[in-house]
Order: sequence, then structure tokens, then C-alpha cells
Amino acid sequence: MKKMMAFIKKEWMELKRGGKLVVSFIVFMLFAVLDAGIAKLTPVLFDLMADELADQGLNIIQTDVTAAQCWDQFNGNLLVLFIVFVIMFAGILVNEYQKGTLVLIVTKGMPRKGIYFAKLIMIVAVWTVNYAMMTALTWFYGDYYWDNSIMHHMFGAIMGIWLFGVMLCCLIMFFSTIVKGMSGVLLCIGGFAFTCSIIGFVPGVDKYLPTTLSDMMTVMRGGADISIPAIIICIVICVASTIGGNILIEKKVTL
Amino acid sequence: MLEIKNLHKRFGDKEVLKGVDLIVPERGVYGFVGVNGAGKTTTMKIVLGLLKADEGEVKVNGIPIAYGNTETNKMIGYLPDVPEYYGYMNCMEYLKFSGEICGMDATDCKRRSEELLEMVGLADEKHKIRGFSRGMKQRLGIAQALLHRPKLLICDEPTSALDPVGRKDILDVITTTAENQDTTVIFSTHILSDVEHICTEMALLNNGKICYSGSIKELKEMHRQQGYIIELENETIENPNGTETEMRQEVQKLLEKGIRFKKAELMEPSLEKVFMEVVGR
Amino acid sequence: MQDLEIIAEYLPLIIPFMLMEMALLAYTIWHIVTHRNYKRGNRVMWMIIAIAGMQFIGPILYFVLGKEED
Repeated sequence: MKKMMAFIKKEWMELKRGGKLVVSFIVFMLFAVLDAGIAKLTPVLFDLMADELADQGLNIIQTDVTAAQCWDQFNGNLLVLFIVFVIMFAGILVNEYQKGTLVLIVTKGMPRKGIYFAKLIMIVAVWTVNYAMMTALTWFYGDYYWDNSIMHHMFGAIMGIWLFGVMLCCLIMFFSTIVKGMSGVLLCIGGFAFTCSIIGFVPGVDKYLPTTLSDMMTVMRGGADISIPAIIICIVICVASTIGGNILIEKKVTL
Repeated sequence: MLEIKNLHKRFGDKEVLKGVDLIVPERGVYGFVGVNGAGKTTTMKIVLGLLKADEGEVKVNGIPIAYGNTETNKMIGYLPDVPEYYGYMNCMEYLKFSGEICGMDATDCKRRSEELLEMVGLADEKHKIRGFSRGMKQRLGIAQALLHRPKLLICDEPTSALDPVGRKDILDVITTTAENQDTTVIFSTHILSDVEHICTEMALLNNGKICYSGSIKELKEMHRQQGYIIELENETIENPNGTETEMRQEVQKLLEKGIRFKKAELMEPSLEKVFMEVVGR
Repeated sequence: MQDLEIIAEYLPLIIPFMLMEMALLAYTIWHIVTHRNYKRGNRVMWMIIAIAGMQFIGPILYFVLGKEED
């Protein structure tokens, strides 16, 4: 436990000095501001274009912007955010294998499980803090400019997206014990997302897929309930990949 | 100090270790010599618990080691050929982190770190490790390996990636370590002159087996070659089977005839030659 | 007066946006100054790119293309 704390401290220093902490925070914040900004500017942009389009014989029926548009943006941009997040943290374990920095640490008596959990805890913490900040900011804009109370299942929807992010963290760690390089981790995560979307073509299977949790637009607009089976499967994937990753890192020959 | 019995290890269908037996006595620098690919690193990694042995027994200070069990690692310090660190830390930060991993007391760790950095000559180095040369990294490697006062220091080809000056530095530090730190050093290398410099005893690993272990002197004695060379002004007399008496007679003759000669030398077996002979090349 | 009102309306969006820009720029400059070696280019070049690069672009270019790997 003490050793794991020491390793967490080292991870913290690495993220801080490597710039990942600041950059990821700014990226998440940027997304929140842009989400609200785009929603807020939509009528202005429509106004600007309306005259031009009217000349061409097109009439735009202007709809009022509500908090829903803001959360639509929030949901819509999540995919890009997840991609940025995964690219940023995919190397957290494999980079150490590639450089060989773990050899000295392991021969000093650092348990491999401790390394695995320290890193997992660290990325989950970064995700959680950044995501909480981003959601809070979007919430603030939603209330400031419009009204969040028209939205549905907000707490559940936000937690669902958080859970999906935690699963991504677990998968990054799990795939890191299988492949050799960062591109391998990215490929595996991509493959996972691709498989989910292929399975998604089967009608009715949607509610079982963890990827359902990454897009809560319909839920927030009150069009659907949060899928409990998807949550359960997501949690199962988290637990299973963590157990599997721990078994694999113990067996790994080249550290 | 270190006892290895009948150690086997194969990677795929390639048998790297075919029953290594080795006993390293306490104190001093013990040379572990073999050509590249002989299985030196594999043996060391098994001792360190980084690899699992297929068969055999390894005891450090009487305690058997097991793969993944890190208890014995408390007694072992490890210095690899090219040690890698976290480039964003400086020496003291890295040693502090290492101390925490070893479970050392913070104040003790600090005192010990300062003492070791002084010894390896990095005491005034405040820069990040990122900018270190290989020699500096190797010196920091010794400091981190000795931090937790190990009984056994395993150096895996610590000089092979260094220039001559760096090599001499490291060898000097290793020698002082063995003298002052109450630590047994195992020094693996394929550079024989290094072994001759700093080791008293050695083992020769070839083809996955130990083909000699004991003192360097005895090894040379065993393979003492007969023969001598006399260099004249513009020719050399070489007698590969001649004895010392024969050489004396020859020199006497030359002196009587008044022929000048540059040098007369009994063939001293170099470790290289002995090595080649034992390895069979 | 109307202009001011419009600006005031967007202020909650503009302020964090500018804060982020400043923070990122300050951090980038600090990073450039405290590092001696870069993946490519030199210090002066990266300073110019970071400061002159439009808003977020300069700093991001630095972190993607210029930051040395540890």
C-alpha cells in the first residue's frame, strides 16, 4: 500500500511535469466553453445567414435555443473528447515498457499489481476530476443562459457517461499488458469501439452495449430511460479487464 | 552468498540455460564471464525474480528465491547495462522515490542518498536525469542499486556501453564498493580486461553451462602455456614449447655471441587466450 | 449601449476562454524556457510560434511537434 502510494506520487509528478495535467484540464474546459458557446451563437449565426439564404429563396424557421441545444453539443462533442483523452493516456504503461524504466523499480520490490493499480487510479482520477469540472461548467452555462430543469435524467445520464470513461481507462490499462506500443493500445481501443458499433447493427441489441452510455442525448431529452443492462455490462467489463490485466502483468516477461 | 543449482531455462525451443551450477562466496568482486548470448543476463534475471526458471534452485544468502516474490530483492541491488530512469526527475528525487519503494525511512534514505551521490561523484548534479550522459546514468545506477544496503550487488555488463574513461570510473566505483560497503558484487561482462582488473574469482559461462569457476590465478595456472619469445633487432625467435631453462640457455648463447636483442619473454597466458581455449574457439 | 450589453451577455463565455488561452500560453512559454532540447526546432522559433500562433494553435503545435519526450 505504501509502495503504491509512492508510485502514485511518481505518476502525479509525471503528469504534472509532462504537461498532461494542465493540457488535459484545458482541453476539457475548452470543450465545455465551446459547447455552450456554439449553442449560444446558433441563433446569431442563423440571423447572419438568414438574409443571404432568403435571397436564394430559403426561409429559415428560427427555433429558440434551450438548454437542450447546449447539452446536445456536450453529447455530440464527447466522441472527440474521448479520442483526445485516449490518445493522451494510451502510453501511460506501454511507454514505461518501451523505455525499460520499470526494471529498476520492480527489482527494488515494487509489486507489479501496485504499478497497475497506481496507474489505473491515476487515469481514473484525472478523468473524473476533468469530467466533473466540464460537466459543472456546462451545467452552469445551461442554467445561466437557459434552464436546465427542462432536461431529464440528468444525474443518471452524467454518471453513465462517467462510467463509460472509467471503462475506457480500464481498457487502456488492460490492453497495455497485451501489446507492445502505444499504437497497439489505440488500435485495440479502436477495435473495441468498432466491434461495439458492428454489434449495434443488430436490432434491439443497443441497450446491452456499453457504447450506449457514451451518448445520452435521447435520455437527456426524455426520449428514453438509461439502459440498466448497458451499465451492468460496462461494470462487468471494468472488473473483468482489471482482473485480466493483473494476471497478464504478472506473467509479462519483458518489463 | 549466492547459490545456483541446476538452473534450466528455455525460450521457445531454444535452451538458454542447460543446468547452471554456481556458488558465489561472500565478499569481493565475482566475475561472471561469457560471450554475448551465453545466458548471463538470463541467469541474472532469474536471480532478480524477473524471469521464471524452468528448473533448478537459486538461494540468496540461504533464502530461496521465487518468481514474482520480491522478498529476496531487499538483499539485492541491480545495475543493468543501460539503466533507464524517469527523465523529469533529478538524482535526489529518483533516489527518494527508490527509497520509498524499498520501504526505507525518509531521513535515512536522504542521508544514504547524499552519501552515495558523493561516492559516485554526482553530489553537485542538480539537473534533471533527462540530460545525463551514459556514464552519469551508470554512476547514478550504482547509487540507486546500493541505496537499500544490499548484501549482493548484481552488475549486468555495466561497462559495455561506456567509453574508456566512463569505464574506468565505473570499475573504480565498483572496487571501492566491494571494499567499503560490505557488499558482494557479481560482475557480468564479456570484456575480459575488466574482469582481470577488479575480480579475484570468476565463473565462465558458455553454452548455457558453467565451464569454470574459481580464482583467476588458478585458471591461468591450469592453462599455463609453455614457450617463449625473443625479439632480436630484425627477427624474432619463437619457441612455443620451450621451457624457462631453454630460454635462459638461448639468451646466454645470444649474449656470448654478442647479438643484441630487444626483449626475451616467457609466454604469460592472457585471460583472452584461456577464455578462447575453454570456450573452444 | 447595445454593444456593451451584447458583450456583457457573452462575457461568461469569453472570460474562461481567454483565461485558458493565457494559461496555456504561460504554461507553454514556461515549458519552452525550462527545456534545453526540443524534438525539432530551437527555443526562439518555438517562442515565436507559441506567442504569434493564433490563440490555441501555437501552444498545441509546440506540445505536439516540439516537446521533447522524457
